[in-house]
Amino acid sequence: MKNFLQYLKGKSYKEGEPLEKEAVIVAQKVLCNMGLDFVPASYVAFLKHHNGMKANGCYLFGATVDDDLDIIDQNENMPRPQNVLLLGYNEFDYLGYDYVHKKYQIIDREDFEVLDSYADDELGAALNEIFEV
Amino acid sequence: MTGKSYKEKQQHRLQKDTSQTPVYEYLLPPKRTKSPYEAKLMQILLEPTNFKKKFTDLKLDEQLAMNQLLAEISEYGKSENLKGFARDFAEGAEYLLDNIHQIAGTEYDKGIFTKIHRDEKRLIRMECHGTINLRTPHQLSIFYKYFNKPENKGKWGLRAYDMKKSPMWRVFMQFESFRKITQDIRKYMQKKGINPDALKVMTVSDFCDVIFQAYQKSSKDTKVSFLPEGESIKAKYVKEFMQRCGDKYKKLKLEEAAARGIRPEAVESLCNAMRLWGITEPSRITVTSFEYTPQIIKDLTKAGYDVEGIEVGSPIPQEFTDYLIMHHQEKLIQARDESGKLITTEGLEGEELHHIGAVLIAANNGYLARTNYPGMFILLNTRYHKKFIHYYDRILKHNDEEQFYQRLTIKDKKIRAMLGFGKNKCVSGDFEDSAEFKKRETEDMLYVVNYNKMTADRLKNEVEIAQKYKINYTKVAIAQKLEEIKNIKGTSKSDIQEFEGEYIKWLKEQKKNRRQKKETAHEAETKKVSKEKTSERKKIKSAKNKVKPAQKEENVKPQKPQKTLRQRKNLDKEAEFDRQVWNFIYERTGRGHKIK
Repeated sequence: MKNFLQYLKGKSYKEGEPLEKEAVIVAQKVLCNMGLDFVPASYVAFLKHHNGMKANGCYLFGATVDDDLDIIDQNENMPRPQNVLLLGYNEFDYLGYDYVHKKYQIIDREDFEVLDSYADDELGAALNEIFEV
Repeated sequence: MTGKSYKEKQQHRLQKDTSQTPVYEYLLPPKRTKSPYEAKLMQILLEPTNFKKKFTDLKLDEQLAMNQLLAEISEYGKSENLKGFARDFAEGAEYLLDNIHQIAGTEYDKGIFTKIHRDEKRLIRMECHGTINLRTPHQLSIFYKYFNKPENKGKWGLRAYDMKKSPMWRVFMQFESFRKITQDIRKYMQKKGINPDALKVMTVSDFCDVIFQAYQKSSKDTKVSFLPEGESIKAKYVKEFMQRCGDKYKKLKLEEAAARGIRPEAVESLCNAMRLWGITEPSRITVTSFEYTPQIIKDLTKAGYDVEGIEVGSPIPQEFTDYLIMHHQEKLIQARDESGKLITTEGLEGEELHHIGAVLIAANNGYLARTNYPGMFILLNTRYHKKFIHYYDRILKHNDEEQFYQRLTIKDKKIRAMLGFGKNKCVSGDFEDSAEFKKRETEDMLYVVNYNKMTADRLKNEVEIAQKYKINYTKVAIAQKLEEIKNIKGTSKSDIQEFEGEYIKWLKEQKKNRRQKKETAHEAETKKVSKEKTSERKKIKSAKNKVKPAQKEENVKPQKPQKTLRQRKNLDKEAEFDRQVWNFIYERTGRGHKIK
């Protein structure tokens, strides 16, 4: 993830307000009530640096009041593959977390085909693949 | 920001709804998207005369909420057996939805498409953005890894790197952006001493790794641009759009900004960024001033610019603004408001790039490169893009190879940007009439290849290369091959039949080789044993007369080589693996035989 944070330096993007502990708790609670799962720990660690980001049609969700970046609103409104928590998207793909297999996935937005899978500790590579600035 | 906390925002989801039920509740689906505009929208829907006018007068967010509400009511009417006014209301919703599509100039596009390969999808994305991500080791082929080992590297002339001999690079060469870097890749591979034979067996991921390394600036990079800044297909489209339709677009944006109280400097700066760099994201764009201020003159002097004769209040020439933006020095002419505070792009919306023909469908209808043509792109308002254009996207599985799709298309193929509902929010133009584009199109036609055919060629090459360099197949390699067969399987059978034959032959040959090796080893072992036995016998014979009868038995008995428990287990595993591989091939292709 360090490398991805390094990559963002000097780039143009908009981000959500700094992450509050209470916001994470609220997000976890509501997502579970919706029949989804917890936001993975490694992604929460990323949210501590950037609580949701958007640039040029690429989005990474967070626990933020910005509707475009709100992980709850987006998971409620966007078409979603089964057993996947949506964490972001770009023009082509979703970044999702398959909470059954505990993997980050790059998923085609059109046919939900899984194009790439990444382990929990490979979140940086997954973020790199979805966020183009 | 709105100032309220996240907990407050989500309060309605955490608590039970205690609000009063509105009288029209029975007309609406119980499970619907909550909207703050619902009451206002229902007023219109319960009195829908002159709907088009009423809809056009709404703000964009309200229009999008109306679209969603109508779609949900219409779906509800189809799925439930409604009666009386509720049924009429749901049918009316469908009619009103048609009205919205007439205003937007959109229609449903429905059909069946055949899936394209993941590699092809990746190439479309990479070409569009002009970037490549770091590949993880598990994504690289065993052949590429073999040729990258220091002991397998060497020196070859540049001529030896004939990229046309590489089946998978030919897949890359379908796109103009990759054709442009072919020479760089050849040179890089030569510089790195990679055996040119590797070209024959390298996969799309392997080439991605080479491109990544060739353009990597620092070891910390995890993503690299293989095209100069602002030269990706996406950025080029935005630049061309501004060149051809910039004036109309700027006019619409200024109107929109004025209505929302946004400063014109912010719009101007966004347009500059779009025109010069192809950037459509307004956040963090430096807003530049229209005229010289004392602070700007001071900053320019400090930076070494000649400011002699420049008067405060005189306009900054566009050429000079462009020069500073192109040299990333726009901060020198930052715009400030009357109180001296920096002007930002806060509240200003940018546009997003949308592929008119979905990637899959475009690949179905024409050749791959066509997906990234200027005529296939359109700039859309962020909210309009997500909540209207993509709102109707549906995919239904038909069978393993084909799927049904439904999506919204824009009827007028000349529209290049949509900032909202209605013709007056659209910008039109034909970007495919230039000589440069015609040249690109003609060239693209020459490089069209069939992905499955290329994959089959590569796999055939693998057999040859594996034999030439004695690269033994491993369990991992076989698993990879089987995965590839699975992926190709969904497409044309005749294309891959030939490959399957070769592959099965290869497997058989490898198996035969292994058996032969084992037999040779066994023969050598037997010879050794029999030689030992003969000499032993001679010894025994010579000693026979001297030995007492009681000692005879233990000396003569031959010793059979015993396998350890681990060896036996490994052999069992190997046999089980072979059984699975052969049964898989038999089930998939009907070739070979089933092993029980």
